[in-house]
Amino acid sequence: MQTSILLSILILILLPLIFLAYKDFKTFEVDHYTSLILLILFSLFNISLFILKGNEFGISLTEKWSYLPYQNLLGAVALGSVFQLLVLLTKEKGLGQGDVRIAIICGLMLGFNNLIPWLYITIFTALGYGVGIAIKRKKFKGTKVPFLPFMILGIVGTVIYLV
Amino acid sequence: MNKEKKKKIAGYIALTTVLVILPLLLLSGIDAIYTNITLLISGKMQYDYNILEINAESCLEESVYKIKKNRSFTGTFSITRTEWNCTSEISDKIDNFGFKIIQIVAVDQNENHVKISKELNTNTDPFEISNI
Repeated sequence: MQTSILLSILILILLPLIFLAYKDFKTFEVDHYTSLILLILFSLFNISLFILKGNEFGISLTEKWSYLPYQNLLGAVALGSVFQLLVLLTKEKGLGQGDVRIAIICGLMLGFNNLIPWLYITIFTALGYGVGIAIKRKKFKGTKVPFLPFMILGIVGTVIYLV
Repeated sequence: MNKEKKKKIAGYIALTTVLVILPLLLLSGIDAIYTNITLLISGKMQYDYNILEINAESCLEESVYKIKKNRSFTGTFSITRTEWNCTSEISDKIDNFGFKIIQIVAVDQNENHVKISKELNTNTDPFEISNI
């Protein structure tokens, strides 16, 4: 019962993310409004839970996964900082600003503890796709990969692992 | 046109960035595995030691049982099992009639050692046991 509710909520959340991923795959751009709305909604939800219920509050979703606002905010800050640093260091040539926004959403969804499996799935699938594209184009330098579809794939993979 | 452009933000990663992140990710993964293996080993060692302590206690019970059967019992006996063994040495306390000294050494297959030293007063009923 709990798993089916969780899956329904997840599908509802995933729909706009899939839309964002599709758009990114086609245009290499992140839709400003959709991503901003998602970011505000997730931030408000986690911040209000954190303020109202304290840092030890958590919603147990599955045996391995508890939705902990404190951990989620920590994950969002950590991931957002690292990704923003990459954007600044590469002057947006290595990583797009839109990916930072989605990374923060991923942090808010999964929490600090689940970032390692998420990062592994995301990076390795993006690497596989990128290498494939590079081989096809016969050019490694300057190859760009739409990152959002792999970030969403990372969320789906991590959630499957946690369920 | 300009307004439309502002609504969209870049959403890509360069393959070079992925290749830079990859070794860092692998290093963090190896570090996490190493840390967890260390935790697992120390946890197993603690578990083994606790089990050996319980086994040493059963050796102590056997020693007290032997004294209960025969109050003048002194000497050494061993209990050997596949995963552990213990040696109990029972002696009379000098100048204290009815007091026994029990010294137990338990060893397991991982070379963990547990030593127990007790003083048993057989003058009372029930016997009184205390640490020395």
